[in-house]
Amino acid sequence: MIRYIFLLVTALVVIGLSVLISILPTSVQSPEQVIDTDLAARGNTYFISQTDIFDGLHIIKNQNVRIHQGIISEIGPELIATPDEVLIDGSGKTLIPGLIDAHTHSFGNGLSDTLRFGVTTHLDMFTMEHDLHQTKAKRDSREFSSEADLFSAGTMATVEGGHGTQYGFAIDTIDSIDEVPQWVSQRKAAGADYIKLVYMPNQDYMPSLTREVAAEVIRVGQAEGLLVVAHISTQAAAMDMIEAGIDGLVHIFADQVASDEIVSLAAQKGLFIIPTLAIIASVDEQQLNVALAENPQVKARLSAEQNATLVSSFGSHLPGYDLDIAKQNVKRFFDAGVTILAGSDAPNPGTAYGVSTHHEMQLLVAAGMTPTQALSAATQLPAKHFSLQNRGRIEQGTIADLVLVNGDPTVNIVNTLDIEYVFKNGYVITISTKLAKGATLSSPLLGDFEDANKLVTAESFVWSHSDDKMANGQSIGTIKRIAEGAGDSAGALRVSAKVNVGFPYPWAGAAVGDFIPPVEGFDITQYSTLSFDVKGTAGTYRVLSFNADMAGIPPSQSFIITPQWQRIELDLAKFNGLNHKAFSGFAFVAGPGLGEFEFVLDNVQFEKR
Amino acid sequence: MSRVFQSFCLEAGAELLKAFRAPEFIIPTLGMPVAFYSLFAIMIPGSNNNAAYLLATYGIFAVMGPAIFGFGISVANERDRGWLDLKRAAPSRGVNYIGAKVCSTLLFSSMSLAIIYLVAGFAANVAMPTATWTMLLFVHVLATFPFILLGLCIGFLCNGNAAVAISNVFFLGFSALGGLWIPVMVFPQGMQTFAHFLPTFHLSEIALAVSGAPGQRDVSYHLIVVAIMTLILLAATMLAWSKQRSK
Repeated sequence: MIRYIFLLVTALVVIGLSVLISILPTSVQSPEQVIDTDLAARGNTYFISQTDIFDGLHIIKNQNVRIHQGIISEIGPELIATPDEVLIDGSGKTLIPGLIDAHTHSFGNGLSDTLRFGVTTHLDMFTMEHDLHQTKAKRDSREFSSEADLFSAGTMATVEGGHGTQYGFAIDTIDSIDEVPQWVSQRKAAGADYIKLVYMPNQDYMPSLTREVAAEVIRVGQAEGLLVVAHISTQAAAMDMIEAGIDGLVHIFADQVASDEIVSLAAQKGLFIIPTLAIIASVDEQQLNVALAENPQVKARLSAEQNATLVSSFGSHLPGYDLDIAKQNVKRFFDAGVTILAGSDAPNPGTAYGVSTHHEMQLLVAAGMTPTQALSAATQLPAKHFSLQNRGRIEQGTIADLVLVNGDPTVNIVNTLDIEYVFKNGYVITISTKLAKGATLSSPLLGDFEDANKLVTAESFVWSHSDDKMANGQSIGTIKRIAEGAGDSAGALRVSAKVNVGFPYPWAGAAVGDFIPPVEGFDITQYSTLSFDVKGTAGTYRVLSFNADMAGIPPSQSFIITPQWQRIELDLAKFNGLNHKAFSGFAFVAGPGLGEFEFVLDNVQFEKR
Repeated sequence: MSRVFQSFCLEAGAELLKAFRAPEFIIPTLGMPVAFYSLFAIMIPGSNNNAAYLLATYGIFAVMGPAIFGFGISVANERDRGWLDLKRAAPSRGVNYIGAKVCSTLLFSSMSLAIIYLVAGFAANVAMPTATWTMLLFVHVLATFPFILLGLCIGFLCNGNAAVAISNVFFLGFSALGGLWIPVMVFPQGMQTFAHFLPTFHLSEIALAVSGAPGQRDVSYHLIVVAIMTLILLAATMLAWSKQRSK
C-alpha cells in the first residue's frame, strides 16, 4: 500500500491542478447591449392597439394610440389603424410615458444607456458644461435619437474644496457672497436649466457654502427665473434650505426621522423632494443593486459600464444613511402632501443609468407609495415641477417618448422592467449585442497647447492636475498653460509639483484623460508609442497609464527630464498591464522622491508603429 | 520498478502518510495563506481591486509554509531523535530521504496554491488567460525550491526547539519585508531597498511580471538574483549537511 501512496497522491495533485487551471476564469470581453442606430426602413409613425394606458396620473383601460411623426396624435377606444400604419398589438400591455429620472449625472454613454431602459429624459444634477449647449439642442428635435434628452444644472454651487470639486476637473466655485450673481449668470450662459447648490454645514469632511451664501444663490437664482434645488444630507441642513425658500431637495435626509416641524413647513412651502433612495440603499450596503444586476430583464439591456457602476459600492458604510429612516421620511413628507420625485443619482456606486430609475420607483413603493404614485413621480410630476413641455404625459400632442411594458405596473411596479418596446421621438429603440470595445481615437494628439483656452482634446479628454490628495496625501500638483512651447510652438503646459510626505507613495503632476465614471475607454492598439516634448527640473519622472476597466496600481514607465527641451518616446507595450483596448488616460508625475519640481510639457501625442 | 525508485516511493509514501496522519501540521500550513489572502484581497473594503496583484505575492507566501516548516522543523526533530543516524545506517540512500521530503513538500505547496487559486478565481474574480494561470503556477511551484533549501539549512543546523523559532523568523520576516502581504511600494524607501536582499521580493516580482501586473519589471535581473541566492543556499545546505554528518 505505502509504495503506491506517493504515485497516487502525485497523480491526484497533477490531475487536480490541470483541471483547476482549465476551469479558472479567463478574461473574456463580455458582450454589451447597444442601441441599433441603423435607420433603414424605420419610421416614427405607429398605431398601438388595445393597450392600457398610464397617462401620467391614472390607468385608462383598452385604448388605441396613434403616433404620428414622433408625436401622439390621437388616443381613443374607437380608433382604427389605417393600412399604411405599422400596427403594434398592445393587448395585455401597458403604455407608460417615457420615464424621467430627476437626479442623474449624465456622463459618457449615460444618455444612451438610460434610453435602453425606457428613461427618455434626464434631469442632470451636475455634469461637465462644455458640451451642454450641443446636447440640449437635441431635445427640441423629433429626429431619430439613440439618446435620452438632457436637462441639466450644469455645474453645482459649491466652494473651493467642497463637494463637486473632487472629480478631477476644474469647476467654477463660489468663494464669497459677492460672486453669486456672476456665478448664476455664468450658469445661464453655459446652458443650465436650473441651479443646484450643495449645502453640507456642520461636518468635517469637506468645506461647504455657508447658509448666507446658499440663501443668496437661492435668491439670485429664483430672481433670474431659475428653479434652485439643494443637495443636503441632514435634517438640520434641509431645515435651513427650506427656510431659505429652496424649490426642491435632491436627496432625502436619513440621519434622523423627520420632525413634525420640518414636515409641515415643507408642505406649507410646497417644495418637492427627490429622495434618491437608490443611492441611500447603496451607501447603506443593502445589496439591492447586486440582486438587480442578476435580474434577466436588466441583464438583457445592460452595458458593461452600467453593470460596473451597478455592482460597485462606496466601500465603506457612512453614518447618517439609513435606508429605513430614509423610507420613513419619504412616507412622512409624502403623507403631508410634499411632492416626491423619482431620481436615482446614477451613476454613483451601486446605481446605473436607467436601471436605477426603475429601482427608485420600487423603493418609493417600498416606502409606502402606491405603484401609481411612484409612476407619477417618474413621469408627470417631474415634468410639471421642472416645467418640461409635452413630457411625462400620454395625451394628444405630447412627445412619443413611451414605454410599452407587459402587465400592469400600476398593480405591480416591477412590471416597468418587463419592457416590450421603448419609443424615443416615436422611433422604436432596438437593441443589439456587440463585444465591448473602446472606440478608436479620432486624433492621436493629446495636447499641443496652441490654443490658450483649450485644455480639452478631440475626445473630451481634459488636462487637469493630478496628485495624491485623492488618496489623502499631501502633495500638490498645479498646471498652467504658458505661451512658449517646444521649437516654434505657441504654447505649452507648465506643471508644478510639490511632492510631500503623506501618502506612502506620493505623486504630483498633470493628467489627461477621461476619469469621470463611467469611463468608456478608447482603443489605442493602432499606436505603438507615446511621445512628448519636455523640459524642467532635472530628474526621473513617471508616466502612469490608466484603463477604463482597471483599479489599483496604474502601469507606469519612467523618463528623465533635463533643463533643455527633448523629445521622449515611450513604447506603449511597456506599460505592463495596460489594456490597450480600453485606454482612459495618462498622468505625468513627479514622485515618489520628495521635493518641488517643475516641468513643461508640449506636443503630447500617440504615434504609429 | 527499479529498486532505487521503489525505495524512493516508499520513503515518499511514508512522508505523505506521516503528514496525513498528523493533520495538525498540514491544515494550518495550507489554511493560513488562503486565510490571509482572503482577508487582504477580498474582505478589506476596496482591496478587491488588488486581488490579481496580491495573488502573485500570496502564491509565494503559500509555498513558503510547507517548505520552511516541513523541512526546518521536521528535519531538526528527526535529527534530535537520532532518526537521521538510523537512516544513515539503513540501506536506503540519503538522497531518498531528502528527495522524498522535497516531493511531498512540492505536493503540499501545490495543494496550497490550488486553494488560493480557487479563491482568487471564484471569490475574488481574478481572470487571466489559461496560459498565464499555467505560467504563474509554474513560477509559484518552482519558487518552493529556495525555501526548501532554507528549511534544510535550518533543520541541519538547529535543534528542534530552535528550529521552530528560527523558521518563524524567516517565514514571517521574509513574507512581510519581501512585500508578500502588502506591496513593497508602500514601504518607506529604506525598507524598499532592504527588500532587494530577500528572495521573497525577487520571486514575487517574477510572479507579478508573469501575471501581467502593472509596473516596470526587469525579470532577468530578478531571475539572476534568485539564482544566486539559491546557489548560496545550496552551498550553505551542503555545508550544513556535511557538518551534521561529521558530528
